[in-house]
Amino acid sequence: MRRVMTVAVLAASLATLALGARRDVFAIVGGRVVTVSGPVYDNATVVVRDGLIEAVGPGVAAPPDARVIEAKGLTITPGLIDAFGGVGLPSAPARGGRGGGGASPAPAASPAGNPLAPQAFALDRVRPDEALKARDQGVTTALVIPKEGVLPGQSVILNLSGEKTEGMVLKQPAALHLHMATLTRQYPGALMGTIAYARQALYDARAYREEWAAYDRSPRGRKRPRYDAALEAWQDVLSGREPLVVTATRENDVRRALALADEFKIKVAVAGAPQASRLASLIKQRSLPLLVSVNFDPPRAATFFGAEDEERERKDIEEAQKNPAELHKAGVRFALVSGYAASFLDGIRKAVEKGLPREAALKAVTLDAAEAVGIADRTGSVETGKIANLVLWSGEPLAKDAKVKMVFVDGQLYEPDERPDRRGEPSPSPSPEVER
Amino acid sequence: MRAGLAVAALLLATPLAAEPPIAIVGGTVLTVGPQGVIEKGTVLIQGGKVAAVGANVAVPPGATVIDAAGRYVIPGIIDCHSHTAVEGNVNEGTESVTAEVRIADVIDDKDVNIYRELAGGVTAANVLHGSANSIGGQNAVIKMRWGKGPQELLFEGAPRGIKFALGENPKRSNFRVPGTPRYPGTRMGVEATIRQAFEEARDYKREWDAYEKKLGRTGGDKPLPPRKSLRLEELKDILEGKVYVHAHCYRSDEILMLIKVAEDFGFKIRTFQHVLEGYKVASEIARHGAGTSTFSDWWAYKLEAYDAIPYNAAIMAEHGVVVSLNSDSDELARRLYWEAAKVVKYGGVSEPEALKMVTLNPARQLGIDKRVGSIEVGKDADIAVFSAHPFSPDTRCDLTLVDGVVYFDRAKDVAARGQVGRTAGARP
Amino acid sequence: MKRRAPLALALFAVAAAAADSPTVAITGARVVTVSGPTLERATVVISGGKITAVGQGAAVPPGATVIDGAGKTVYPGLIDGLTTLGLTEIGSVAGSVDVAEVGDVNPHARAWVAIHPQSELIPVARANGITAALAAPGGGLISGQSVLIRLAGSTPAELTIKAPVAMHVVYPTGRPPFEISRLFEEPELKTFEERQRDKRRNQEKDLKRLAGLLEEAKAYGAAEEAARAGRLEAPNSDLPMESLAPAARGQVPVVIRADAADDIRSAVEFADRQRLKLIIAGGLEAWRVADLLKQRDVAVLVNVDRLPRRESDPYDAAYANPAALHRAGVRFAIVSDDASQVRNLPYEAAMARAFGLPSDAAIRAITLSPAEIFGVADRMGAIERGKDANLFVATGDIMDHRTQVTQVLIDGVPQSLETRHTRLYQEFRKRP
Repeated sequence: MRRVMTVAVLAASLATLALGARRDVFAIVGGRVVTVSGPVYDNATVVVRDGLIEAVGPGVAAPPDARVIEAKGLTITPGLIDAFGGVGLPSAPARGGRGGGGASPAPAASPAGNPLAPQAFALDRVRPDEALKARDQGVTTALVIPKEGVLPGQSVILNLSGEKTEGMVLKQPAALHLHMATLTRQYPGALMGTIAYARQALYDARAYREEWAAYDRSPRGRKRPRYDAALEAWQDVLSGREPLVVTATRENDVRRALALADEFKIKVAVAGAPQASRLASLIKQRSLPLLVSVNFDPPRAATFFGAEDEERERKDIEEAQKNPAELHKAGVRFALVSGYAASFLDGIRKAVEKGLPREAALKAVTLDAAEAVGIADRTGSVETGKIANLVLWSGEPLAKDAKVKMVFVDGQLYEPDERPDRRGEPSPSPSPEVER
Repeated sequence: MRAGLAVAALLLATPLAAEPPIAIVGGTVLTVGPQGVIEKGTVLIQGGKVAAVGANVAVPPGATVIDAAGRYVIPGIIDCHSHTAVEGNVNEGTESVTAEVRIADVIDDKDVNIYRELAGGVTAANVLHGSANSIGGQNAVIKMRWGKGPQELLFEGAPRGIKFALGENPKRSNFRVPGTPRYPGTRMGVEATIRQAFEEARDYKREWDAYEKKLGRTGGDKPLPPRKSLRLEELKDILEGKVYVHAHCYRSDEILMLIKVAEDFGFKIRTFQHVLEGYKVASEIARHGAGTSTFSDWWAYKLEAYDAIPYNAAIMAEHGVVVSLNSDSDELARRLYWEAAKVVKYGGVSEPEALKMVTLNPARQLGIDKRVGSIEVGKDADIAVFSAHPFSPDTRCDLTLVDGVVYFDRAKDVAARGQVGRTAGARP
Repeated sequence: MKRRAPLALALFAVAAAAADSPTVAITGARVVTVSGPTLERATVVISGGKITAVGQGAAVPPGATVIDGAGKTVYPGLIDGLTTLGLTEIGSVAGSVDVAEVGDVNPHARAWVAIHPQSELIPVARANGITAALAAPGGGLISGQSVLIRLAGSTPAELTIKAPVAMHVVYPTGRPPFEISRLFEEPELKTFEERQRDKRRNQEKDLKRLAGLLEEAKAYGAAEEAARAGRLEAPNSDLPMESLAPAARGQVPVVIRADAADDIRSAVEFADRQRLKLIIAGGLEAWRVADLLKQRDVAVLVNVDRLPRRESDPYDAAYANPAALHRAGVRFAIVSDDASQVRNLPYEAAMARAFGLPSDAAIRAITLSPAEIFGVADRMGAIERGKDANLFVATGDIMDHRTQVTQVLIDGVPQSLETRHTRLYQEFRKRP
């Protein structure tokens, strides 16, 4: 019996050899490897199998069934994680797309949904072909949530491979989001209204939980409670299973987020936060997860009352640009995120230009980003057992002249198109550099 | 062991964080209190409070001395109607009753107008919700502790307050908003909005009182509390007299309307704000027991301000109403000392009474007069030093202290100008 | 009398009652002449609507009405160099407001035809010593023409001292004007860089447009002149161009409203290129460009009680603005830039004085300086023999908020100090 098996196995192997290398096994050789979690190897091999990193190191041998990727002269880093942005979401027109009052510059239906819908899933709005474009910038993983509205819903973390969004889901839902923003013709129209709205929602969610719990305990004689999708959505935040991510545009928004955490004993994280460096000690003391945006000059409504103080606005933008560097200096750990910036890489580069060490920037868009959104156990560094999300760079990773040459997501190879007017497409066929 | 005890004893003997006392010496002190005017007086400040004030106060060794010779020392000015230091829209104007929103949630400690007002002798302000709503949001009384964070600006222990608004603003008659108009659109609707809100508050109170009663009973299933509504809770607290109502109003009929509504529901209006026709119904206001906080002489910007007269403050004061003068403007707040001088001209208010209208009277109206509003022993050292009498045409504020800390010093401000990298009121 | 071309020349209306005014003598008073030293215990004699004598030794004519000025101060009537007095009654009531015409280009809007002589705001201002004011249209790009009015009279013609005084223009800021309805629309979201670009583009566009209009008006004016001289056929009528021509040709001053330093600078360069007689209104940052203003001899109509423009500005930037202009030798007038607040004009000057403007410069800024800027200094703005008898008597320093005004004379006629306010005061102080 065993003899037959051995022959069968041999035959299978020969057949494989005859067909060529296995498509899901790669050996990236000769490149510089920045693991982020450990040492930097000047010359090491990374083996990818079945979507995972199988081995990393200078002494690692390429398995016989692996396609070899020649990476001499290239640097390999973990895939970039954009831990807060709109990857894959349709962009809204310049005027907040809810119609009303004056002609909107862009035609077409508004992609913005209900502005007060904690139960909405960002996953439902993601367009897979749009999402995959982020790989051109070396982004392999993205937390996605619409930027419009006050309670835009719950975000999803996507790993950008495959063709369908469902296949991309890494964490769903990732978090519930609250933008410290206001609405135009419905409540809340002022920031204090937004805060009151959130507080009232949390009180209502608590009461909802107690009502259902009391009913489930002893329904006899009790009128059955009404189901409420929005209040259901808050339950995981109330119980501490899901964080509430508060989008902060100014210093005091960070304090407001912490005040909510204190009042309702919930977990909060802060996204955006262009003035967070002013509160470095408080952030450290409270171990507040921070998603620092590189969108330094976001589209904003012009101020209405009085003249615009251009000097002040310029100072604010400069402060935002220096914010990541200042946070780093103060010893605060944070993720660097796109925050809906037109170009994530350009934003990261600006942060580096304004004083954030490039090494720290890389960590902020890989392992620290993973840490901030709770996926550091599965991605964010080049380590055995983690998901094979990698970027091969020519030049110093993240530098102005660096180019994203190859991207691995879930162990699948993608090559960005060099030609500026063509978007890269997933390439299922082996790369021409493959040797076997 | 013994050495340790000795050290501990030493530590106990020395007051923790002992700041040197401050003595403001040699100025004319307008105390606004029972001591009246003290020529060549000294104000001694210790631990943020006024420790002594008089003509013969001894200055302890080690005290920081501020020479006020030839100058005037007055209590810090209190602006009873302010929208300074608010982040974002000062109105939650999407609905007509928004008692749940809180100015304290959106205090902008970085608003440079805090500093600019300090430069005009202002040490505290009643920061209010705007006047877009019949019933607006909760106010925040702040001290102008420039450089401190938002929580530290709040006047600890100041009684809670809320903003009502009557007349043209809450009924939105002066501009068109696209879409369905918001109710109310007439003064009748404003009254109905307020009555309806308090009837709902009464129902809410009944529900919660019943719940509290049920809780008290032993045995049986623990009852579920009624749904907590932040909005109705605030209105219930107004019914129970726990919240000061500051009502923006203009016309005499709406003033009388609100007095009737308040009395029907068993609560009092704390202050009528603006109240430009208050002079027409001054005795009714006095009988109800409300204070008034008004402009010295603004008029004719709205129809409801067409009968406004600069004698308003004088007439209301003559009827025994506690009157304060306010700014409702970051720009005007800096010169409230001169606004007070105007009521001397219009209606012959005495100078001490006029000064009270921007110091002790607003303090009384805000329920903080045990702490501020006059220079008296035991009160907070909120003090402004002027180069001449505050009503004099040549006067300028030289120094402003809050809790005995100098937050504005004109000499230092001027010296810092032109230095590279220094900006006005640069935060300490 | 030769018939004058209707819009080309200034109109000098004479107060109807002047000829019938009594002879008045104010005796033993402190007299702030403004054009000369302040006199103590002096006498001012008024007759036929003019000041006929000023001095310590001036004789009181027999039969004169004597006003005892002991302990009092006499001032020239105050002149508010920029207001909407008479053009607006209640700001929020559109039916009572005639300040900004529809559209951007309104050189043919003439303030003097729309003055409401029975405005309640006029007696209120007069009662605190203001005897003349510039009433100017606003808004748009070219707002219209202003008139200098006296604060007495029953018809617009009786109120008119001089018309036109100037053509009023708003320097394009590149930003859309504030409208409260925009608060209720979805805001347009743009980055700072985008908004800066928009601003610059809009400014350029509007300036080009303004230049084009001025060129056209210049040509029109030249054609009109040639036609009158018989050298050319009269051009087709064009009321806006006809109205703009004198300003475009430098015959009538142009008041340009600008606050930002960059805008003021640009306005000065623009006026230079176009050869306009420039006056700046607003001038919040004029102190930043004082040397340029002095160099080009541009006068400024400055309002004092304002917040600084930039967060980083000294807290008293607007208060100290007049003092800075004074030190640099720039001509300026202190103005209320309002209508219901005109009575507070002396207190704006007081603030300027408290923040460094010398005392005599402060009183000049609300009397002789505006008179000079508007070309009527030969007639008013000082207490001098031969000048119009526009003056008032006060219980002390007019810049002291506690001072009362006891008498006001316009063209020698004593004015009633009764106002809507005093009437309501009398009515309601009686109510128990």
